[in-house]
Amino acid sequence: MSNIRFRLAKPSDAKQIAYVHYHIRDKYDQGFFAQVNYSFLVKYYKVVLNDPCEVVVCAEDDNKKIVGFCSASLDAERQFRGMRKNKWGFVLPLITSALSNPSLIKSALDRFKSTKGESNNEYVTSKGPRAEYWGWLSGRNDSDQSVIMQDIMFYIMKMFGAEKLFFEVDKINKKIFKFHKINGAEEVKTFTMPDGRERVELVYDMNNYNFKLK
Amino acid sequence: MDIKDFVANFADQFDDTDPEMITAGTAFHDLEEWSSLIALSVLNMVNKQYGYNMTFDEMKPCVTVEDLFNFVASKVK
Repeated sequence: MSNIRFRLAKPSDAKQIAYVHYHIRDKYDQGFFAQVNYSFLVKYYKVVLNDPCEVVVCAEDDNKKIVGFCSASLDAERQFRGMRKNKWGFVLPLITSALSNPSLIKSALDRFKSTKGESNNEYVTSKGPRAEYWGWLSGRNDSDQSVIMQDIMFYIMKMFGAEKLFFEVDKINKKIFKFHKINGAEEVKTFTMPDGRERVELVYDMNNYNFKLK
Repeated sequence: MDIKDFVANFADQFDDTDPEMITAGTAFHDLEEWSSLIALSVLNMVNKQYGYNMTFDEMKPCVTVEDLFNFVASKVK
């Protein structure tokens, strides 16, 4: 097992983090972000990592290769504004992603509208502190350390004043759903996505969170 | 604390691994199904069944199920 070092991600890590995110689909291939290409994800993480309200913790192995990351925003509304501001940068990677899956264009437009509250569809929590992605390269025997990585991110969020941390999990993503339930998350509500997936909004109470670090 | 019960409780945390494959001498990090979910489930099991709030850092140096048992047994005496 290699030694893993955790640190805050920098904008220059966007490509490596996009690579890890791209490979989440090796284990779970549902949803918009599992359909877009690597270039789209690189653009996405360039925007995310330049957002001052974003907390992204990454895990590096002995070779300084990023093998895992988790991300959260202290202000989801501000993050959405940042995405809208950079919308033109997403056009080309979206078009190239849509070459193999044209329905992505419609999904992207509806998601874009939802960031302004102009869609009838619900995707994610749109206000306040929100946890986002959590990924670890598959095929490694150190994925259990992602528990620590997530706790570090939670700890930082708590230090910066997040008392409640909202996030969403698809109900069919059973292992992740089970993980968060065991980890103390409470269900807030269930809603259905435009593609029929049932999604559960959950919340961690950071004041009562059981950190698994000393 | 009984090691036989502990091994059974440990094996219960796995969904796809045959419980017969898990013994006191099993190096659990090497099990194919070992993951963040199982690690968290084991910590949760130790807390609920044995009343000790084990941290991830304490679990990390344990190689076999027996190492884990010995650590927990030393804390709940």
